[in-house]
Amino acid sequence: MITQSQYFDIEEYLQHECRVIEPDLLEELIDHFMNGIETVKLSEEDFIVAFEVVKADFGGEAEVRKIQRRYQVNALKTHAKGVFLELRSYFQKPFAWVTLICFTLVTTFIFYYKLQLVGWDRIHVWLGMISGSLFGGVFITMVFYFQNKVEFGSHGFQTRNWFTFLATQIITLIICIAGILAGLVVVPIYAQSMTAFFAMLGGLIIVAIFRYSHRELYPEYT
Amino acid sequence: MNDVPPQILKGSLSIIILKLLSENDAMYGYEICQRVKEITEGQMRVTEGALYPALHKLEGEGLLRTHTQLVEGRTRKYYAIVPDQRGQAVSRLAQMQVFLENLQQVLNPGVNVTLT
Repeated sequence: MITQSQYFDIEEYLQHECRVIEPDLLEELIDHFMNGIETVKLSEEDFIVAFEVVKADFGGEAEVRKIQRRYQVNALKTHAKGVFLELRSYFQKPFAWVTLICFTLVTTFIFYYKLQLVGWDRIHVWLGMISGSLFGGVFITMVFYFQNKVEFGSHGFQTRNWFTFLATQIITLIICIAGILAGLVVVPIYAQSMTAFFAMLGGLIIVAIFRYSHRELYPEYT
Repeated sequence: MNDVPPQILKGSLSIIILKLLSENDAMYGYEICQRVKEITEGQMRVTEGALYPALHKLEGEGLLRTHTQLVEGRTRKYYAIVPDQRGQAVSRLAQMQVFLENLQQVLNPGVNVTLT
């Protein structure tokens, strides 16, 4: 039987000498070491000796670090795969197409307006981009909150009917307009187009991120 | 004693894991190592450095799922085949079976070998 102080010895070895920082992996390896030590201790009473045997059996610190590296790479791949699946499902929805069309129409108009009336070299443009993006982000998040309420409120994602679908499209359009309004409100007139552009970009990113926030991410991996 | 070259073991490790897990509800890493040693009477040794990445990879692929359990005051992580992925696991095992039979044919031409 492993005592508590021996448990801490194993934990310290893994954390400090092997530099294991992933909590799940750490727990798993501690259990593995304890099992190994308990098995060796059946024939060898001394914990230190048994610990050394298991360490050597494992392949030393380098091997543990290698396991952690591969664990991290694998976790990253799994995460990336989950994000990709989410994004793919998002971009397959009619919502994404409507958003894209709105976005393209409005930004094309803004850039045309900008090129025709105002120069590109003013400091206000940059101030406008920053302030407008921040303001737009907050504003659009609020709008999105209500969008979620409408879309998923009483129907649920799987059973939504044409009304909720229509409501989603309308609110998407409102989100696009909200981005433009945010830019118009915050900054001087000659900075508004870039502001609106970035506010809308920020808004679309927020929508993309939060649209599926009510769903459990990567259910197949949990 | 470990007579199996690492490159051969590496390629077949996921199959070994799936086979063991298909026969057991859930197993933990150390248990898998010990079980392989026991079945092969010490001829094959699965190293921890290969086993854990393979387990994590299969988990990442969605073939395995994990759950933790408190055993003697410590957390133990168990691996099991995801129920709706059992077919996939069986298919991989079958593919390996066919491959091994073909390999046997190449190594021993003319000898009709069926692996069970």
